[in-house]
Amino acid sequence: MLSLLPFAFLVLCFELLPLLVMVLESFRGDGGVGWGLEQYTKALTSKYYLQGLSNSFFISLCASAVGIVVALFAAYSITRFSQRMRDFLLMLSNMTSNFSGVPLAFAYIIILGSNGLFTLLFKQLGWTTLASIDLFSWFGLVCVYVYFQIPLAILLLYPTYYGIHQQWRESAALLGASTVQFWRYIGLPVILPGVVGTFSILFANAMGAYATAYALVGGNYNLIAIRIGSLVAGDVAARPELAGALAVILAITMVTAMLINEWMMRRVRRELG
Amino acid sequence: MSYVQIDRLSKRFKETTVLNQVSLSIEKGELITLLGPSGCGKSTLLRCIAGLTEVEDGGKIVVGDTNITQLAPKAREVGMVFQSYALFPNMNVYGNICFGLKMKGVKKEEYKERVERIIDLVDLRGRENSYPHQLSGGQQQRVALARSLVVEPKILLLDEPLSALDAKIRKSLQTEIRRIQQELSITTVFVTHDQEEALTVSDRIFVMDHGNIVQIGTPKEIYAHPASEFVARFIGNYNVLKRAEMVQLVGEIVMAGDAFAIRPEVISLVPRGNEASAQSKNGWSVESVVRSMTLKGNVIRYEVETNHQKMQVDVLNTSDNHWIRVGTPVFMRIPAEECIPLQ
Repeated sequence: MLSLLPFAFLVLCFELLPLLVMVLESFRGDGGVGWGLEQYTKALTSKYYLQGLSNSFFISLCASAVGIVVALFAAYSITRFSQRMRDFLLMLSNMTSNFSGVPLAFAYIIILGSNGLFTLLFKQLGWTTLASIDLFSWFGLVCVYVYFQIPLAILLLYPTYYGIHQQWRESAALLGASTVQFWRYIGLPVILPGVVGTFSILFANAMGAYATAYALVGGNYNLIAIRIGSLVAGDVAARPELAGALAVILAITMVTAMLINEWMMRRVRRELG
Repeated sequence: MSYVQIDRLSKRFKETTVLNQVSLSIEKGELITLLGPSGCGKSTLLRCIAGLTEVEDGGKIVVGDTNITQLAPKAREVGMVFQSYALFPNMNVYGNICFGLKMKGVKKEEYKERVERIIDLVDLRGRENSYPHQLSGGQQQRVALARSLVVEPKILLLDEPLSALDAKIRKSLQTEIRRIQQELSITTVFVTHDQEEALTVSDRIFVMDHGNIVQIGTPKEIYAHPASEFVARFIGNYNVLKRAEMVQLVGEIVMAGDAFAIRPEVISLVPRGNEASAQSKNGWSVESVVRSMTLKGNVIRYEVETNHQKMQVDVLNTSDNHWIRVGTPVFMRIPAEECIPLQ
């Protein structure tokens, strides 16, 4: 028990205490005066913050949807490769899923920014539609988010495919099912809880992404994570109480997504067990 | 002409020959067993019949009048039950059973009665809405059997279907499978490595070794007349002795054969002092010593040593049978007619 003390101390001081302070702050009035739901009222009635919330929500939804669809096929493909190739692709996915924040934003800027390598190339080739892609917009943000969502989704979905037994396919084939019918009636229903679970993690991941978005669009795009950052940094005036309320709302969204994931995964384990 | 004919079927995995020009024929409504140790090719042969494993050029599989060698699994009209049941976890018992009929485009009103009948046949009434994870191993295997049977296949293939079950359920399912097979009169190929199981369920047994069929016969023939040392050792607990070992044990022999197999239950033990009763008119009485004794339930297995030869002897475990202590000197009586010469 004594050996757990340093760990308990770490969790208490660096995880639970900041969380508790944040939650408490969210119930304080402006300037830390009084207690109440004033900050939540402001957060949930202000068009500005609601827009930030809705922008974050829809960007996360789109990036997660694209990520999950691509990863569904990519993860399945990986299971068909040799062991050596599988190890390599998983290592690559692991690495790229962690390549986010300022370096990722920078990589995208030099490739697809206003004077990016590909932007200039597209201009030279006369491909105006591609050359006019605005990286510092809603679309640009989705592209950058998708970059780290796909490998993360691959890593999470990959084991799910191993839950599909070869003998199910063989049984289905002997009973007259085609490959499409197998996936429609057996394969997809079996992996669906895993897919939904992965989607919820992707969604939570995108909702909480700050560094990548900030490095790319700064304060020019209204996202909830950026709003919280600016309210804490106090570029105009620091309002940690309102930031706290927004952070609690964001946390509730993410916790809900994680709970859906946990529920789904429990179902998968029970059915495949 | 036989209902199923397999002609010179070969299969190689890289350099390893798993099936070596295997030929066999099965009559309609017959249950045959492919029996052999792990890696002998029995499951591969079954998978070749199902179309799940490709065969080498030159081999041929004919069912009825149809050459199915190059057909896709779904076109072969074979049913297969796997050792791991392979039930679809997202479907309940009813869904699993009617899956094949749905895939074949049979309408619900047409297959409903068929599914109900098969549920009764495999004794799953009341479990129709259960999911695989809610069923015991035996029940899951019944569902797998029902799922394969409901589509009325031309042949039923059973790949070690009872291996994952405990002994009691396995024995009861052996009888069940045999009953259902006979009731439906369905041509069945049963794969197992358990000789007792093969003897219980089969019309004929095909013993396999290293990709070859080494003996074919009824359970009685296979058990009573093993053709080779391999079959004798595999099929039962035969005492297998090379000719020289046999001569060392009993003295000169006139029988032909490179080796001899003697079943443990045909040998009897007579304690020393009862030499008169130990004398055998047509056989041998050999002085020996009991080295170990194991209770096997209905029989007591003695390991008896003589002239540096160890022999196994099974004695029926009856209430009037006195157990012979380890170290007791005995006469081992071997009837000559029970010594089976091997090739």
